[in-house]
Amino acid sequence: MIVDLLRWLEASWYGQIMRDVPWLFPTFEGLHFVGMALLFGSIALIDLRVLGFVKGLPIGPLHRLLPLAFGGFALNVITGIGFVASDPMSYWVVPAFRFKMLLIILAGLNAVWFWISVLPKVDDWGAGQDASPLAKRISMASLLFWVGVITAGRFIAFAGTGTL
Amino acid sequence: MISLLETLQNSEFSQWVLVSVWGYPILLTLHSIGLALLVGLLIIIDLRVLGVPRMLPFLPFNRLMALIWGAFAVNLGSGVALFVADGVKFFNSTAFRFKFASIVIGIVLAVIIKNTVLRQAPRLDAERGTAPATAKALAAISILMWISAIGFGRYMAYE
Repeated sequence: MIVDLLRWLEASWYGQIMRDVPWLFPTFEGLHFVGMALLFGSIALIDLRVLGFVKGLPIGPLHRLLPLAFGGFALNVITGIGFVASDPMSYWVVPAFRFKMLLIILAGLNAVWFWISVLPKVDDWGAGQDASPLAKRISMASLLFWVGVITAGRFIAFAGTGTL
Repeated sequence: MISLLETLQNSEFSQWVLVSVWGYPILLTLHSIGLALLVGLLIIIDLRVLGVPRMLPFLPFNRLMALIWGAFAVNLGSGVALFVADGVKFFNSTAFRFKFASIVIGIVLAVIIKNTVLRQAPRLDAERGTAPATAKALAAISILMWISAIGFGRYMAYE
């Protein structure tokens, strides 16, 4: 089923332009890094604050950074699908690519958990106050997942078939 | 200069970076993680200077500078290692020169914003004030410089 989807993506207009317009792929790579910086920067700042670093920041207002995280994530989903659409099969066979997708799903589920269990309480954690132990565990996992995503992403080009 | 770069390029370290299975990917991974932290956090500070999100106090951002300089050190270190491994090529690369210039301007702007807006943080926070228009302009240029550094950095792979 996934293979059918990938074949469809390859034949789609998106796959076509990614292969046919020479400057598109490099431009998308640049945007993918900008999106990564926005996503990881805002997530890492929230996680580090929950873990007790930069305690002077109240945790509540930090959720105002989430649009930045979502914006970066959206940018990276759009550009990321573009890379895959250009040549889906050479991505699909690479273990680092599959591992990156798995880590993104885990990071996403972890974020949902944070949303459900921690976000309703964040307004209680003002400047200088400690977050709950559960919140700290979720934030620690979040940092590790996203560092893992970047690492696995970087390795796609090296662990691949030499065509990426 | 070129002969120095050639000597460095032929060193054992450079050969390890270029030829070993792990050298190049590990350095690039460190460079990416450092980039995400350095650029991500600096853009957040720039946005705060520009007024988004207004409800966060300025003062605590001072503590972020340690992390930002740490990330910069990681990227300077990994960057120098990647550079010397193939020095002559990078030295002659136009994209590298633009990347380098963008980073120098970006870092200078970060230092200026740290020493002006963030130094005045207690007063700005007490008055719930906004940063001066000049600082806002510098913050906007800073964001553009980091996007430019990333863009030219990526483009180096295609030259």
